[in-house]
Amino acid sequence: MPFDFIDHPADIALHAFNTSYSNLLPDFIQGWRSVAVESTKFNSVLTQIIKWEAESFEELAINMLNDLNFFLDTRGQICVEFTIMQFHTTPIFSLEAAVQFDDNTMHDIVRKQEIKAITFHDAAVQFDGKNYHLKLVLDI
Amino acid sequence: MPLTIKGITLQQITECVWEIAPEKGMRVPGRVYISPEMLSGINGEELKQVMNVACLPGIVNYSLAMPDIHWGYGFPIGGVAATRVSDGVISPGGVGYDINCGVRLALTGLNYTDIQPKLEQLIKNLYNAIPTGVGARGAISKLQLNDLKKVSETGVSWALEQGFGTQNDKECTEEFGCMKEADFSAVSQKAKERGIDQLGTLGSGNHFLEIEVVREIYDEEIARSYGLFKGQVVVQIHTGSRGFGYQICDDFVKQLGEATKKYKIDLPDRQLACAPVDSEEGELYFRSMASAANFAWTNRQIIMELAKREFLKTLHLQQSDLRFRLLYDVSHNIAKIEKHLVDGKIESVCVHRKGATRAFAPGHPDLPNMYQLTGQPVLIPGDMGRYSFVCAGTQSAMEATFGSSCHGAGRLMSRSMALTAAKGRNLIGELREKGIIIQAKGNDTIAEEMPGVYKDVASVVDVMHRSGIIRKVAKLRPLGVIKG
Repeated sequence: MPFDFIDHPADIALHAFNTSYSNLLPDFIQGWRSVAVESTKFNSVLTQIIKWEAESFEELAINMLNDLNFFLDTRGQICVEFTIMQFHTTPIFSLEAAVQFDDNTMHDIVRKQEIKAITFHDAAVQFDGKNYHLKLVLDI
Repeated sequence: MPLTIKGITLQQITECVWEIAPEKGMRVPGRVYISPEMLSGINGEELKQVMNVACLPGIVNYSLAMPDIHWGYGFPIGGVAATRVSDGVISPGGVGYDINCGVRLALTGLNYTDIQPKLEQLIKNLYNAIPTGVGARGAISKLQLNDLKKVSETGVSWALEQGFGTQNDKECTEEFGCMKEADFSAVSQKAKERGIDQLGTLGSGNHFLEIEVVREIYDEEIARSYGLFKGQVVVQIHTGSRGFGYQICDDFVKQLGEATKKYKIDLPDRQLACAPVDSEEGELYFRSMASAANFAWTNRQIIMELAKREFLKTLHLQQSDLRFRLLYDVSHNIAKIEKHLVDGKIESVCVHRKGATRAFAPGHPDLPNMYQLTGQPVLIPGDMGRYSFVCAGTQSAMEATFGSSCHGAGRLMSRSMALTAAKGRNLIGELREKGIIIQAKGNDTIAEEMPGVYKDVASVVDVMHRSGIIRKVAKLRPLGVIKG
């Protein structure tokens, strides 16, 4: 798996690593989803094109995950497929993606953890010569 | 003898007070309330956060940490800091995501023996009546936007208008159940959408409703004045502003991140994003946070009323037999404008309490008449297998900690460590052997919140009591617990 969990005193620290910034994004979604819901089988019932912009990659990833968390919490929509259509790192970080959602008002998706928010706590990308690493703390 | 933890030097001031001298941008010293025995549980990260908070512009006296201190976001959990209104800042990191997460304690006129035969049924009925768990919703009819506006701007008064409670409940809630600065127009559309169907829900994680019995009285006079007696059945509720507050915090961590740049505030941690208290951005956050605070008090008010109704129904009692009434409702995560002594003068300061409880002294004008002689009831919950405490605020708290105390036990074990430690154990059975019935959505929640994962709250409360910050009044023992 392109993500793992690091021990954290009260919450959940999700660590993802991959060869590029853009590859990290679906890894984080997969990791976030494994915390948020029990289910592993989904149907894709809705597709939405969503754009995000931020001054840093960390901020972009956090904003994206917080929005996906919001969709789950308010509309029961869980992101099941994520296709990057455009990704730029200059002049600012920007992302356009086709996001496919399952809908737990139509299918019985079992929620696992209530995630209050994805935080900026100690969020800083590091490169080890092969992979980019980022740890994001999910406030439970 | 000074002590060094991860390169941070602590100087012992009194038995349970340790000081970190200002360095690297700190504007005031750090002060940590902790016993020498508890210092072994400190890993240094939380002390670094105490030092980071000391760098906030306008901070006065000390960056404080209570004995339940642990690593948080920006501020440590158990952190208290006051900033001058005139030139200081306000930070969502000093309040937290669950704005006005707090506890309330309701008293009954019943003895343990009165409920013991029906305890199991009572717990089941409470669990069915009060929505718990992830994304819980639907305790009351779905609110219209106009109702949500009233909840966020008038707080507990809205619940009373809907028949959820009595005037006494309002009297016995911090701020009388409403921060008047709340402004619904300052709240984002996303927060409104996230909060609209979560009123009257307990949520998940460490939130709970417990039926407890008063096990021990430490201060007879104050206990009598509070209406507490040995063997008495009481109900404790711990929850907050649910998705409404989470979203407001998330919105403002971003917005105040921009403000931090605009006002050229140099911060050691992005989660301390802040703005001058009297700036447009600072005021907008404060009004929005106050809206979430009012939501949280209303949430606990509704849950308490739902619980009262289940007591009446399950035990076939009349209200006059049950004698159900709120002792007090305290906030754990909040920022408030209060007057405190700074450099020998009374000043208006913005007190951030992040995982800390207000503990006002006897005679404080913000307390209702009934607590003028005793001081404010300070409610400190422990874990679900041991005990919780009722304490009283003191004058020393006003002088040393901006009228603040600890808020709970503080975690000892991470969630993953807890799950590992719980493997192969029958936690429900273990609690039942101790006479505690638990009803929860999932076994993982029970494992993550089991007794051993928290510090012993008695040692946390003892530090505060020995330091003169609070007076111990009574110890409560859980009988039944519902959790998300």
